[in-house]
Amino acid sequence: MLRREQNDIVTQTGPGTQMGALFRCYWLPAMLAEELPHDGCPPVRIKLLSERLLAVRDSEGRYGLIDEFCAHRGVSLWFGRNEEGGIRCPYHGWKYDVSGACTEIPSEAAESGMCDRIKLKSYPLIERGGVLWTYMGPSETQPAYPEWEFATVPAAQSFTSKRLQESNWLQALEGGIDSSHVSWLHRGNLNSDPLFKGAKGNQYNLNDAKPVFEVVENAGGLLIGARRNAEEGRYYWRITPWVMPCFTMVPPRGDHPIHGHFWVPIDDENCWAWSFDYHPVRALRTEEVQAMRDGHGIHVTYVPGTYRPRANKDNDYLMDRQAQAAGVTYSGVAGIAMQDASLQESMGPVVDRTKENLVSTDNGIIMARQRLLRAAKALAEKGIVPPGVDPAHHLVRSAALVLPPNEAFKDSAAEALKAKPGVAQVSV
Amino acid sequence: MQSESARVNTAAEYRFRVAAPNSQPRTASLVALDAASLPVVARAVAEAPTRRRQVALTASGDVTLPAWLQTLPGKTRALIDDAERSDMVVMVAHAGYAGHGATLLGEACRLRGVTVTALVLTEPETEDAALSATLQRLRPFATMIVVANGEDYVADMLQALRA
Repeated sequence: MLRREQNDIVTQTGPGTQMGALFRCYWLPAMLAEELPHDGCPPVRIKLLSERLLAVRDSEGRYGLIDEFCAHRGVSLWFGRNEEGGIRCPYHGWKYDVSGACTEIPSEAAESGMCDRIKLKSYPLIERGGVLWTYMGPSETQPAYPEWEFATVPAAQSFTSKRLQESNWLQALEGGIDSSHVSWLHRGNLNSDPLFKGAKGNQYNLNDAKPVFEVVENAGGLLIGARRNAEEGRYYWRITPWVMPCFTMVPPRGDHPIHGHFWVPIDDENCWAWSFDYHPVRALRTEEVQAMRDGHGIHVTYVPGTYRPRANKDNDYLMDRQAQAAGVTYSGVAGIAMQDASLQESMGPVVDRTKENLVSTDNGIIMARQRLLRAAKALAEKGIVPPGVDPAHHLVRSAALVLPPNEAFKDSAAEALKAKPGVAQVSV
Repeated sequence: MQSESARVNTAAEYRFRVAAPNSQPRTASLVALDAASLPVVARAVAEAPTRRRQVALTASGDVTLPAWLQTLPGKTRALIDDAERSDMVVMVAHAGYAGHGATLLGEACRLRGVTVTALVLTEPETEDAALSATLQRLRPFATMIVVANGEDYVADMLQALRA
């Protein structure tokens, strides 16, 4: 459980909040590059950290993320015209470049200086790995660019999607580090999902339904190890890294691509669940990419023209009681992503953690909350840069491996947990 | 027509969640496995009177099993009984601990169905071998092992577990 004031701190990410200040220390995935497909394309409305913004790719190919509303009368610039070098408000013709600077006010004489005094708030927007990243903090503390491996391997080796999740970001994140739910909620998927099946590690999972957990602090966040029995007294470990504030990776299975998530707040009651798959040393196969597009693995299919999952609360997540009764799915909801999202959304937009009853195996969640609260406080009171900002902290991988019984996984698997260009993942 | 999930998954509907308590208080038995953990446990107990403090079974230096066993008479019964009356046992040790007390108490907890959580406290200079030795000692019976850099996690974890 958390006290109410603690719950408020970790769940509120708008301007002026402690956790909002923490999030504004990082480069965050803002949108897919495909959403701004060509120079001069239509702008896209986007809300992040409770701020309504407009993403623009101008006629010169420059990206920008600016205040959505015209400084003149407050019209949404989403209705604007993407003209030469900027976006023009259709109401009275005010024009802005991708930095938010007003470049033209047709009704005012150029020499009036009015134009020079107008500037919309803006944030940088950069492309890396098919993702547009933004940094919403003070410009003087802008960190180095993100170095996450999924975004730095060749494009053919990586696939990224995003989906709307209608819950607070922390509920979604906590699902990503809650390894103990996998044996229940997703048990129907291990041997059937094309992006999981066939790995030897699946048998360890299925043969030992009572994993034991170890949580270890890491430079950027945590490592959460789930331990199961393997042959000859050895242990099969599945190791999940969490890097602050909202990056998690799922331990791999066999030669399948590695996958993971970002959980980025839209506002306090919605978040973007980013899902990526990549392979460090080979291109993704055609059938793998097709499976991802078809909503397998950690991806979903969409309501056409949106990033809202096709199974959503408006259709009761396409609940199938027959599939549930037959054990095809454990919860009656199809697909790993929506199995998680449906339950996390059912907790309410912001779950009341004063009512929960955590148990020992929830220590990954407990420690993640503690680290978030501690980092937010240190930032607010002492200006200490939080873990996960340093790009060195991005160079992590999940791993699945068999180790001798007497070794600390953090040490024995240290090399396996590092992202290394051209080196395959360690996976069973 | 609006779906049931769309109707209930709102902040407005969430306000109608039953307000009655959904659990009873839990008691934790805190065990310092080594001398360095004694003050850590003492501070955690001082924060909440429902926490039981147990500091027995510690031994300094490399004590052989026979020698250690000779120190036990009069200690173990109360320790195990106390653990049995608790909802959970939390063992606290510093990396490098490899004593026998954890095994004795851990086996007793396993037989009685008491959940054991182990907290291993490390320092920046902690060596891999020291941590491995402690983990090896704790793994046979601990449901969860947490390796933490600071003692403040002990109190935070207990609060999170309502203990």
